[in-house]
Amino acid sequence: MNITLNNQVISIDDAPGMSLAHILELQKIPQRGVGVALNNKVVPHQDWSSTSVHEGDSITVIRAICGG
Amino acid sequence: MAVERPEGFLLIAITNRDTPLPPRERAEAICRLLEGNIYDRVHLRLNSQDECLELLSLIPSALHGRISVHNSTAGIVKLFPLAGVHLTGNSPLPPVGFDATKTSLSISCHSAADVDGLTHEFSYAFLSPICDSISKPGYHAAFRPEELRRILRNSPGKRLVALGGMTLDKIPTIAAAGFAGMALLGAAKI
Repeated sequence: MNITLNNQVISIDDAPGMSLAHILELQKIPQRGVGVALNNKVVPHQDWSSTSVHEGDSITVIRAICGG
Repeated sequence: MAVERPEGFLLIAITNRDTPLPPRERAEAICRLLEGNIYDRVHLRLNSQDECLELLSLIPSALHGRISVHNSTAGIVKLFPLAGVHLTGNSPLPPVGFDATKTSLSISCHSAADVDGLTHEFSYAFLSPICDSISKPGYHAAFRPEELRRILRNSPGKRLVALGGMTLDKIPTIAAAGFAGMALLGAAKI
């Protein structure tokens, strides 16, 4: 599926509806020190695993305000 | 890989007066937003003092220090130790008894003249609309690029926060333009 990560379209070779945590891991995004928003809505770290990502979604990873 | 934000670059979410969320869900959304390590502060822009009181009662006190209220509900700072009071052109005066040593002041600006008139007591000022609004149809960008550059260049020491049509992916552009931060209303979904 195709998603946007920090303004860049990327293709993920996996089933639709995979978790945000999985995608971040695939993209080698660190677990700490960042904040993440899915379609501009903030997703707290504890919800990364239970949040599904779908075709066309936009993920923004931002350096955290205080080290995460 | 993460979007960089300059040291001290403010990210502020503003509540939408027309939210479909009931109070409890809205309070939870505000908590999630503040706990997500992205936003520094939430501005409660609400319809009434009662609505503000109810919402603040539903938000844990540990987060109150990251919340500002707008001037129509500013009297509430006497009851809650909030981060700040935001003034708008309709009522550009802080509430009676306002203590600037405990609570910060911010204000809305909509023109170069507004920015010129900013005084030192304001911690930061919203400048809007910078881009076409997401939440307000027909509310378009008000500044030509060269005008915006001139305002930012002529305002050293004034912390201007971009508002209007902001989304998180615009952080690098807005920071590079010289803004001290960015405020999101429609995109914050609270």
